[in-house]
Amino acid sequence: MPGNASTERPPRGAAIFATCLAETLLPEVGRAVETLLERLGLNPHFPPRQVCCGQSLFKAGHPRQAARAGAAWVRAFRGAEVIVSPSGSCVAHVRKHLPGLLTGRPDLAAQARALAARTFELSEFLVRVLGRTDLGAHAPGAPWAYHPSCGLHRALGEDEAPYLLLNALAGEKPLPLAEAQRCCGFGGPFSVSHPEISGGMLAQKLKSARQARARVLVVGDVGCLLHLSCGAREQAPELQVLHLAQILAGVAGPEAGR
Amino acid sequence: MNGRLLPESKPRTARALAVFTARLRQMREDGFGDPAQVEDFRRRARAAKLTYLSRPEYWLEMLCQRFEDAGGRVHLAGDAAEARGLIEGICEAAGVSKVVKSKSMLGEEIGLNPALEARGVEVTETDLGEFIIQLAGERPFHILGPAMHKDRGQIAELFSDRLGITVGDDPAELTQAARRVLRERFLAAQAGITGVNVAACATGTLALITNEGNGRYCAGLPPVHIAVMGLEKAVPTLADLAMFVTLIPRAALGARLPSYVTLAGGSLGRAGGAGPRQRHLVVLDNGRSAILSSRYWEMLLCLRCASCLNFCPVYGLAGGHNYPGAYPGPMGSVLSQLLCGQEGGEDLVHASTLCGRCRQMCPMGIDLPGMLLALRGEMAEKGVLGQLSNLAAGLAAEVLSRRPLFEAAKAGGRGLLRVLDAWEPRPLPPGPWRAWRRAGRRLPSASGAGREGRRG
Repeated sequence: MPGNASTERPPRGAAIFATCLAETLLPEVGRAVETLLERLGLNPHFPPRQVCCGQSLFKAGHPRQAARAGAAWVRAFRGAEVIVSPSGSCVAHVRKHLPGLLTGRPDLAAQARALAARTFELSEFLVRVLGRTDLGAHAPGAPWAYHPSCGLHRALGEDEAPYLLLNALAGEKPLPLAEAQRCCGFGGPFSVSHPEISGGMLAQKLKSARQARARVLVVGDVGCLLHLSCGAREQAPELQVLHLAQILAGVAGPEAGR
Repeated sequence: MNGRLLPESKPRTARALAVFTARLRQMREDGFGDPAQVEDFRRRARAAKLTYLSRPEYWLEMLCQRFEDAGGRVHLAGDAAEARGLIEGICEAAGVSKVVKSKSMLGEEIGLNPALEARGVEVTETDLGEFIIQLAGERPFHILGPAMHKDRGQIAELFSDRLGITVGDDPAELTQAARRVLRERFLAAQAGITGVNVAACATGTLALITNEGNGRYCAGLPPVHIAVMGLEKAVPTLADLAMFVTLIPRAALGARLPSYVTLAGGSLGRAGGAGPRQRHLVVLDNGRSAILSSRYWEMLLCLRCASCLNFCPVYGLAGGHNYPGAYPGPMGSVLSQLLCGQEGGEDLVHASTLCGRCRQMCPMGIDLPGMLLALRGEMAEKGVLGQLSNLAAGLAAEVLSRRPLFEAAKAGGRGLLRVLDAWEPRPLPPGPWRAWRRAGRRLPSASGAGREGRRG
């Protein structure tokens, strides 16, 4: 984990890596990140050539094609002082796999390594880089729970930052979620190649939320957010699924953010 | 198996699966939940295994020497057929017609029981769960609980149908009934076949762990003992062996010690006395040397503790019988592919969200998700379907590397969402959205996704 930030100069301009999934299907997440970073005085900007880090291609078993998307990602973010993303799994890909995928192109690989060291998942960035936990945000107005996403909690091994942020929210504390660490069943291509099992895992997660009597489920990854919100839309209309960024930015909508 | 991995279809079995795996998860968390302790074991256990695996031929030779010094015989088998042939030969030479066997995943891997039965040898599985599924003519459902999918009513029915025993469905009564049958089989058997959990090369000692003590009878009662092990099961010293004997039950059940540990390899019994007069160790390669020299060598650290099954959300829904091959769950998805590159393997390596829970819970820290990923990459290069999917991935990479193309695709995607939205509630036209929809998911509404971000 890159250093104890409080001793360092806070970054002046944060590049938002919105992710292709959020841009296509969940644009409100990128906007929430922008609102939040703006309020923190970080001059967020959106590198205009960004698309995708290549994670989904890599996980589908296409490393060469993933390397092409990854190379474009490196070019798009080249020169960014710090990169912030609302998706732990994308950050994990950038940090752990992308430099290795580009070994055939040493110049790009070196840039990828340098960028990887400056790329952070949102909660990591807020807590570890900025040293902030209390951002003056309010917990959802309805009973709520937090689903720890696999990308953030396991792939990045970040088991503290999101909880510190959640605990600092004003208002109600989160409800305990049964089997919280169990994956929601998204898994990118898996959600389409194995709909029966993916759907079964989704149903289990929604059941945990229901049993916890949660009306709002907060997640920290755009993959889980897409999966769980699409599931809730069909199976649990009373449940609202929101990204942590939306809570922290206070843009979660009147029924949840009050 | 054709097609894709599906959830267990029988509701009763699916419920039993959920209850059983939840209980094992709880036991593991209660008894071996301290990450620092797990890390400490992992470090020592990996060191011992790596010492062995860095020079397996040296250590194996030592194991053979010590084992044979004590009167045993070691046989090396290159593949499953050779191992079956060796065991058949031992049985034939010793005039064995009745065998008692303790649970062995390796036995499943090489298809030992059908081979012996085809030669007229009667094999009795003596682990209670294995005994039950043998009566039912089924495959193990779980590495630790092969019959976990059977409830007591079904077991009572099996006992009545196959053994002619009328017995209630009280678990204690059922166990007593099985015990009475097994006692006679133990006494009548001319050979006992067991697996090996860990072998110490420096002393030629085999350790066998069981929950019911049946392994002790199999290894110690009949005149002939045949132990079968994969060549990865050895460790250098007896101290290493002792560590693994306490690590395996910790990982599997959260227990600090196994119920029964049987050490075999000491002196043999005399004619007319108690104990085996012949002890054989069959060491099987069956693709393991190739694994050792490949990028998947870490798979040889696997202890068959079933942690990855118990914590895998996919296994938790699919259950053991939907996996082709002897080994189910995440370790099975990798190992079956490496051992035999079997049919259905391509589907299995994709039947994972790569959530990482298996790696987190593995007592040896095996990077199962990493290996699934690598296997996906290797397979994508092969076959017609592979070429097609490569082509599609190439197109996707093109779109995902160029902002203008992505913008166009995004606009197209939003249009598609609007079309699909308007299509409801009629059945959707073919396409990935149908799979998405079938799993109880509705895509975001076009209006939601269409709201243009300031810069999105």
